[in-house]
Amino acid sequence: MARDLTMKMAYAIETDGLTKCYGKFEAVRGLTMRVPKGSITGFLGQNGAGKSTTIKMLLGMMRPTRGNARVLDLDVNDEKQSIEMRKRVAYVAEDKRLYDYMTVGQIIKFTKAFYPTWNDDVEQRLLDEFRLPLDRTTKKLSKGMRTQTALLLALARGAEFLILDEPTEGLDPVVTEKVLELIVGAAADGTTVFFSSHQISEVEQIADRILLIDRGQLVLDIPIDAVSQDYRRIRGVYDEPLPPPALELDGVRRVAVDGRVISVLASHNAARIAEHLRRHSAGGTIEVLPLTLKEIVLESLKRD
Amino acid sequence: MTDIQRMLCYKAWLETRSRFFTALVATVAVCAFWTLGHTWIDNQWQRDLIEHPEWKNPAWFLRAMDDYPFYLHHFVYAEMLQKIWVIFAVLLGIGGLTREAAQGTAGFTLSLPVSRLSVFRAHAVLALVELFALCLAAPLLIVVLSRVMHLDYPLGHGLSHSALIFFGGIVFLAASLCVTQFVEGEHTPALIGLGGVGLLYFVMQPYVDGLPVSGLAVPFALPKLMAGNPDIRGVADIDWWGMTASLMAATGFFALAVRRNQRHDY
Repeated sequence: MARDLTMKMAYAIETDGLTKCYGKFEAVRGLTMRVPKGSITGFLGQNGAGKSTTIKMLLGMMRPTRGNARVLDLDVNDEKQSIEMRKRVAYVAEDKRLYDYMTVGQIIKFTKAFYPTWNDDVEQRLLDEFRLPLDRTTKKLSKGMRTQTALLLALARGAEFLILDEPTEGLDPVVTEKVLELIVGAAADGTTVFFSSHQISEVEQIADRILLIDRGQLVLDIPIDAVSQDYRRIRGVYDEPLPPPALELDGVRRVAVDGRVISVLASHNAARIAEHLRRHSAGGTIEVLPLTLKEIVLESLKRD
Repeated sequence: MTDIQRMLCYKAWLETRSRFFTALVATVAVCAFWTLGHTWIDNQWQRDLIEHPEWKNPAWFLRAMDDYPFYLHHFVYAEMLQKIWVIFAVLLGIGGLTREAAQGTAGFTLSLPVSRLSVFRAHAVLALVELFALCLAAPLLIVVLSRVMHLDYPLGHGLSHSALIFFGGIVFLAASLCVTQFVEGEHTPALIGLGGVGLLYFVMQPYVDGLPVSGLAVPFALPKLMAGNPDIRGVADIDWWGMTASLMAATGFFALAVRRNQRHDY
């Protein structure tokens, strides 16, 4: 019982068969995923894959059609628990729009009132770092400054969990780098970070775990270390075209046959798979190659 | 009031203050015009009577020349002030999460640790306070400006008519809050609301002016209900059936708006 509780508390997000339908269209389809506490988790997917819909369901902005979701062990479908959860979670939306009619100073004052854990030191440090003009209305800020204001409002509230929807979308490289540094800094201070993106490079740069969603379904859930340590492409080049091998081995994620070449994407167990391919036909050359995250993602998104 | 409620009202105030001040300026202009201009208007009417005896005058004309409170009721409470108030009841009701969704800020608001109902309530309460302030400003201003013109105007008369406008017209605010929850888009709810007001005042009203303020006529006789009896002296002069029907309709709109607010996906 006590162990069950510890296991439950170890996750910042737990979803079980989470589904969102718009009429007959399923934007999110039976999504079951876990985000460990203390991690920086990159939530990858193409445009329209269901990332924002998932995040909105987690924050109570949308009601799931089916399934359950818990954030910080609180049920997102229960309004009271959802409010409790939002006291401990900071969210930065995709478009980073803030109230046009408020100045930077006013929106800080407004947001501060909701969080007893508000950190004035963080507020001041970020104001100095970003050089945000307190008396300028948010509609007159550049996109970069608006993102920085949104991040200030998220980071200064002393939240234990940061949910960011495309935090660097539309930003120039300098501001992007600054934003990524801030995210890493927040994680170093013990904040769990869950951020959606379709920029594989930046996910690779800061995340320690990756969730990949495609057409509303989870297609990949791996720690970033697994990319370099476990994932491999095993390629067999043979003298003559061969039928696809029967590879019912642990770790085989995808097998592609192109004439004389058989290519296997393996999440682990590369040595055994290579050995199996070697035995498939005499006279072939077997290579075991490392993979980049981009290759793994692209392979995972390939449709049969 | 907690800090959070105060901040939600502060947000609603920043969001609507330019609309409120515009309404206040319009209210001041109308009150100032009909009080400060009374002497000039009256003189003009006297001249018209002498110079154009052949003109057919409307029923209210002779009484408005002699009876200053009636004159104010006719031009201010039953006409211009009422229309301004109704227009701004609609405009001050526009807002809330559906409009925020169109503006792209609903995500920020909904990520705050506060219920949707609290956000809705702050917006609705502030609009009510602003509309009440407009109703209160008009009779006070009329009394002061009338003194400037050496004219007597009983404050009680003005306050009674303001109360009629406020309570009879809350339904416009409630309808606006409802439309703004159901209709997506930044400006569409305002256009629909103002279109409805225009339809009521300029198209349907002339056809129902003669009807008693009760039963099915109530939705179309709201201007008449809000104007009330020009000689109002006490509660006996209030059309309680009409008022009850109007307040019930307002309650219905509020309930519908809250229900939508609770269930909608943003």
